[in-house]
Amino acid sequence: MPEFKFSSLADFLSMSGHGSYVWACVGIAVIVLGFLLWHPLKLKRVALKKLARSLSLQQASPPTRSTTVE
Amino acid sequence: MAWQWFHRLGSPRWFYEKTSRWLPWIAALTATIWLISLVWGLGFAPADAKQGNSYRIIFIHMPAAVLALVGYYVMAVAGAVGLIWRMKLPFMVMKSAAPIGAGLTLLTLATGSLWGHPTWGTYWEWDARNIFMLVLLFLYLGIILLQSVYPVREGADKACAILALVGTINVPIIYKSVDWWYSLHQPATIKLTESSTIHPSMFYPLLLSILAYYCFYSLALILYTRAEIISREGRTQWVRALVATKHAPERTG
Repeated sequence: MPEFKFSSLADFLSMSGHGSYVWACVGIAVIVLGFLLWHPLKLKRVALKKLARSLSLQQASPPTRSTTVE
Repeated sequence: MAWQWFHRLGSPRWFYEKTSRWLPWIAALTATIWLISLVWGLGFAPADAKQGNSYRIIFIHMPAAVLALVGYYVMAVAGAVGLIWRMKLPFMVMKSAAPIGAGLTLLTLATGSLWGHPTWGTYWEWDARNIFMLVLLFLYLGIILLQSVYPVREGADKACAILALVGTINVPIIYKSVDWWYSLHQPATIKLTESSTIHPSMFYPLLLSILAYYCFYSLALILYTRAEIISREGRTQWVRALVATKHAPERTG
């Protein structure tokens, strides 16, 4: 079982001077990966809404002219 | 008979319904493995003898680079399958792979730049691997753009598949660039044909983080493909039924 390589939380955060680089990378990864999961969910929501609207329009509109003329 | 599974795999409805059941499991698996690999890599793996703690960026940078390259093949192969068998779903997968690949390439470049400053002394170097990685980003962005400029769906799919296939030349160049051109970028850490240049105490968390990114990639690809299925298959009965059950109250509005 590997042990924790830092003596304290402050030591873990500072990473002997390299902390800003390492934690910035973690932050960027969370943002990019998070976006790649949020974005498709938003695209799907938009597509579903658009489809629901066009379907309700089709149902709300009166039957086509050919049937009313007859 | 033997080809039945192949055609079922090409059915958007089959894909959508299957993945509805898989999604929570894949999401849970991805989050678990990613967290374990990150905690292991950042806190429990030993520091590097030469680079100290800055090397820990490898647990984010390298798997992202691997999936940026693998993802390009996913996109190109999906495009080829779509072209050859004229199936709908592979083209949707191809389109979905582009934004994920672009995101992962961007992540690779950004984390590589942050790793470069303490180790190379610069945020950016016009080094062979960096240049071809930038080319990869432009290929992904090119495919995203190409999707939107074509007025006809079939034209966009064909053009993107061809661009994706032509661009595959770039992938082995990136992979081999550190051996072909002597540069600042360190040579490969994990080698397929010979023993790796990394201690097991760093190798296992690295392997786990690659696995985490593979899980993430499948999750993102499934999510994007599902969104694409809804936007392209709006005329089919099953998608309309889905909309009717999910958005029933909106009809009154």
